Amino acid sequence: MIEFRSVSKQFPDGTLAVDDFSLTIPSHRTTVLVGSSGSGKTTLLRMINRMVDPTAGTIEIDGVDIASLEPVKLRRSIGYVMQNSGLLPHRKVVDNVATVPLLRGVPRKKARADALALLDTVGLDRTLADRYPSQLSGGQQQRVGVARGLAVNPNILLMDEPFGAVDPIVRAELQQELIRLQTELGKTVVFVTHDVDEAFLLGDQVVILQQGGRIAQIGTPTDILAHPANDFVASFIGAERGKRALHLERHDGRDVLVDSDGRLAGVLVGDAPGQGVGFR
Amino acid sequence: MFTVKRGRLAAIAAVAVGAVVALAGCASGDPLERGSTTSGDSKTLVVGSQDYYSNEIVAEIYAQALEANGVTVDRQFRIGQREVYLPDITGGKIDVFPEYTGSLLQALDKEAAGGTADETYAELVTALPSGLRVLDQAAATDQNSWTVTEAFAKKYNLTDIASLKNVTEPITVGGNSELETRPYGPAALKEKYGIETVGFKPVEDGGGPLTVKALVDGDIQLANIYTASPNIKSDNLVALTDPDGVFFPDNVVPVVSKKVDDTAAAVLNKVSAALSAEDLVSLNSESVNDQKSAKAIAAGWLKQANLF
Amino acid sequence: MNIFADALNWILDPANYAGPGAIPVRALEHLGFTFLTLLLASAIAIPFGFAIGHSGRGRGLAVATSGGLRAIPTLGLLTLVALWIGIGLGAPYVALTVLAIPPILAGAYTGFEAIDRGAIDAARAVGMSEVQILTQVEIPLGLPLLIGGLRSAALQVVATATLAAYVADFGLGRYLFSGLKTRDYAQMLGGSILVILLALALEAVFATLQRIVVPRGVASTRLPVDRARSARPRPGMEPAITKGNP
Repeated sequence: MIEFRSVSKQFPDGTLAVDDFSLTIPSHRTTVLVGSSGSGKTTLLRMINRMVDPTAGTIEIDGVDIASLEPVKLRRSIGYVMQNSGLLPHRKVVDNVATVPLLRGVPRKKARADALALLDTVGLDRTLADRYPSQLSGGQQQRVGVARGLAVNPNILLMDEPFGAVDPIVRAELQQELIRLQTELGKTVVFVTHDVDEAFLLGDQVVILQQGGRIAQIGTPTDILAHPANDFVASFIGAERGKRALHLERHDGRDVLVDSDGRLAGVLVGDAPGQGVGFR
Repeated sequence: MFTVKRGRLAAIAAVAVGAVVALAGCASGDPLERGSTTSGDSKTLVVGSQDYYSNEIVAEIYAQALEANGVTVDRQFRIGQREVYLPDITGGKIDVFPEYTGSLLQALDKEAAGGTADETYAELVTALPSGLRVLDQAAATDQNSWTVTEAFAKKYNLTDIASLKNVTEPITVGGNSELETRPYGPAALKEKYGIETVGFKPVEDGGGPLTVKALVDGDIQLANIYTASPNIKSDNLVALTDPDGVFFPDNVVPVVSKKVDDTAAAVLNKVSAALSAEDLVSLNSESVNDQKSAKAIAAGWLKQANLF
Repeated sequence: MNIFADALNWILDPANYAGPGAIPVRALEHLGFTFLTLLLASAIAIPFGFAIGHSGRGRGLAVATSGGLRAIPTLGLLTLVALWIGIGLGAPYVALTVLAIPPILAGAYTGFEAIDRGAIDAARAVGMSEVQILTQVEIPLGLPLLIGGLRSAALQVVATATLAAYVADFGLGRYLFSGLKTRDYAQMLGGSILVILLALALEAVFATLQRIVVPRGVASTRLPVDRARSARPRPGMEPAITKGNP
């Protein structure tokens, strides 16, 4: 469990990125921090592994104040996935994945073997193991980034807009992978995005943030959709102008979903397909 | 198509530049030959000097003396070593140049006999090529000398050059790189006195502060320091005497071209008559120790000499 | 063609290959001097360059200092130091080391600055210590530009090391000074040509070195790119695209 208690962050140039922020992030669930730029979501995420230290307040992981922990050691126990993967360009894929285990002293052979298994986990072909990141596509690189984050089997996985730099088709695939992984592994995932649809897809708990890290609403995707707390939330999720309020109509013998403006939003196809997709 | 044309033009230009450079190398053998100096009207004389501060002071004295007598002077100082400026003088590009009798004689005639100051002067007069002549020599001398430190001289009881035989430790010579091959260089020491020097350390500042420091520090034991150098006194050095005339006497003498008429010659002779050896040492001292300019030093000397 | 022909004759004259002042001896002295100077300059410039590149601070000071050092005339500095410590190789080493520092310093910190910030941030975020970031990420990736700086310094030093002959019986500069003073222009030009040849040889060595130290994976344009499908086919899910991008 990750606990933010009255956390503030003021940068040396004076900007107040986060002001008096408090939040409990439950274990084994995916919590999504969503907001536009300037909402402090990335700052909050990076406070968890002490890439940024708060100027006020405390952050606790499982009851331990992380300010008392050594940052490098802390980071080696937390998985971190960023946009544009941040892979080391001069290391092979398998060595990139094995980065943290090697830092922790795991023998080379074992670390590499584990890394190869992780490539399976994230859905990558093992033949890519000896390639270099520049030889991979964007989507493949992101998967490697996720594999690296999972390498030490951390309880916590921090993800900073990890699917933002790939095209929509790849993004959808990667989102599905994450959902599948979560079902298998049950990590405490803290996910940052500016895309509200992605938030609703992935999050068990969604935190909508305004400027300065102020919480506009917390809840499950269904809660927020059904009952947006204020105008900001409503406009953010696109609930205004009735884009989210859909009703069923019958056109040409088929059930279609229509929004309040009479625009066609989708087609009703019956039961939910295969793996968990859409709203829980 | 346009780019092909441009590319071709650039190639032709490159070849042309290359050809010019190559042809320049094929030109006459002296790459340091300077362009002709136009001396303007007949009343302008070109006064030159060596790249040696003491020589420059004398040249400046000549120049100011001539100017005080109505001659327009074009100064071309610090030309370089003898190899560079002699052709300029014979070629008529320079009209007045302060020289040193013995050194000039040896440069013109490697087999010259030398001797006393007057003998050297007489030999020089005959050795000069046509178009050049020397005026009266001054009493001032700025001799090449083999110089050691006072302590070294005391240790081995050194007085003249021959006494270097007494030295039991290895002798390293230091000086400009041309010293190695000069007729009065280490080769002469060996030939005339059987004195072996063990090495040559080049110090390219012409007997200047680096050479003096090397002598004082003991990096070299023997250096060629000009006798008019103020360092001899101030750094406790001893110029070994030269009874056999290894170094020819080096009296200061103006070398002049045809353009210098009798009036101008008379002016320069008056200067030479007044310039003593002690004068030269103190002139040098003013430059080295007081850091005065050649112009100021020359003006000061002319004033107290009160010639014109 | 007179002078060039004379100079070539001088270089090929067997008489110049015997004795303490022989061409190979002088050339080796010159080369040795260059390498030692680069070593001394690197010992000073590289730690500072790495510190600046890693921390991101002090760049302005480095640029200003480099500019100042570059402005110092090498012969003037050499003479000043020689007046202080005497003739010999001490003064040339000081003066030439000062000459070599700016390009090496610049190579060191620009090498780090050219690295993708995201990779460094990720390295820190996954738990590399600052030293580990330095040794495992920044130095390997920054090496090509550092070698480039060394290359530039080597060229300047080998060309200017002729000044050592001003106060020492050392190096190819002896041919230049001796030739100049005694009007033996064949010797002077011959010496110059030898310096140029040495410089070209060093250029070739460093150019090769600069290519070799580029880490595999960074010179990606030459490695075969395999963009095969990465996802295992899953039952019930039609792959949206066939070949090419996953």
